[in-house]
Amino acid sequence: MNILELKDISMIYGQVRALSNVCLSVGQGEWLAIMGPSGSGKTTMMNIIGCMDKPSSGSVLLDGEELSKLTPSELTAIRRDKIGLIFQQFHLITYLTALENVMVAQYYHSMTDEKEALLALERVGLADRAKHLPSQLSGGEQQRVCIARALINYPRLILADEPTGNLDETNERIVLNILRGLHDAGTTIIVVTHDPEVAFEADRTVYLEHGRVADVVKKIEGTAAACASEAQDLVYAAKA
Amino acid sequence: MGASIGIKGVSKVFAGHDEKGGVVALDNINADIRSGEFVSILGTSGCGKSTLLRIIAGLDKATSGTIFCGGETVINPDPSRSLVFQEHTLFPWMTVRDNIKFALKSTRQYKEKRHEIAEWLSLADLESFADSYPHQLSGGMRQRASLVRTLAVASDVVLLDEPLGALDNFTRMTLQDELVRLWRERRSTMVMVTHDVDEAIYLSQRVILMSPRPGRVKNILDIPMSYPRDRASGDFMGFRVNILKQLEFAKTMQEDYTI
Repeated sequence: MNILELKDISMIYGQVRALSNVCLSVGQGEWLAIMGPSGSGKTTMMNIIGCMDKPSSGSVLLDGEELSKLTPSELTAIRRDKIGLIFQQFHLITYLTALENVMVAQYYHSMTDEKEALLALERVGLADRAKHLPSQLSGGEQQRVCIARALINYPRLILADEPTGNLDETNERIVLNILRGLHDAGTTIIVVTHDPEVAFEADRTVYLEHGRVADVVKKIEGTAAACASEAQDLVYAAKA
Repeated sequence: MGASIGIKGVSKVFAGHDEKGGVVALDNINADIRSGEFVSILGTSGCGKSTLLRIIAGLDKATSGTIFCGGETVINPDPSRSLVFQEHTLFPWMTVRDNIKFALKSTRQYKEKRHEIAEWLSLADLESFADSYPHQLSGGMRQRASLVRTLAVASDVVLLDEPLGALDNFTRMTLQDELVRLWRERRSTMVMVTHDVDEAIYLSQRVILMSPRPGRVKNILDIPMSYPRDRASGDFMGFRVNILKQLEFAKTMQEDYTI
């Protein structure tokens, strides 16, 4: 069963074709990475999958539901119920504690439950930081609060845009391990990234180039370094 | 009407990595900002202006000295003192309208202020983009949306950290007009950090000039011109030359600006 199907989608802004006839299926519980140079259409694809934009043509099926037929408020509801979003920028509210930042996400879901919010923080190993303000947390801890916020509604799909882009290696590893845990528990994960190390974690990597799928690579057995270097070569090839 | 801000003997020392000791980012800063006033903090890179703003916001702690806001000591960040950054901080997964709504909900002001949302959208000239997502807006529109979202919840004090720095020159000038309009409409206390001399003169009633290493107040200048201001007026040029001289960027003495 596929959780997501992109069928021949194109996105056209004036003279620019941000995406051209992209087809992609993502299986339930799969971990997919989307890579490609700047301007290759990664963000456009993320916005479409995240129900923040509609393609100019083609269809998107999420959990069997055709998104193009939905109204903006129905799209918002789908995203709220099924998708957890993680971004490179943390978007935390500076004057609220970690716990409150997770709780305000619940306003969006029209429920507030401190126990649930604390549980979400526990899932990312931050229960002891619940009362800290973002300025009192490290970058890695702030990103983990964002992940906790994204987990509040137990989404079936996690959509992450450069989730480790602002983090050092140690924190990158911590965040990837959290995503690994979610994946092991059956959550589908789609990560948009420039970083081959991040893409290496995925079951499958889709390379975009000029709005088209240029290549698809399944996870290869071997060392992380070898795979990362292959991924890097592909990115360079896409840029050339 | 916004709250007054008192900056009393504020110093900030960042701890050093070796035995040489720390870096003095701010050295004994004193200034009083009046309720509803528009003040700019102007200085070159490294003068500690952003650090000072973060301390006023309660995001950083001063090594010594105190910040008062509306007579109360600032200890922590508070929604009544919100920061607007160069990069917009809108939630990408929410429409413009939902962003404002969410800000009101998160500060428990939604019931009391929900009727103001339409007004804010109209003030920011974003009515027809109310249901658009941030990525569907231009840079200027995003920053306008970010600004009104902040104003919608923070009526007391708005702290602006080079809020227009990421925009092109023309968009920037248009948004300066918007900023003046919003401030005059609402009379929040506005404190803006900038390194743009023209921007400081165009917007502020007073300019706090800072000098670097260590960050100190060099002078506090009154800009007694009525709004809206004219960037091409002789008075404007006069302030410009005065400030550039004080920042040691003007090389010649120029007394007459008439052509």
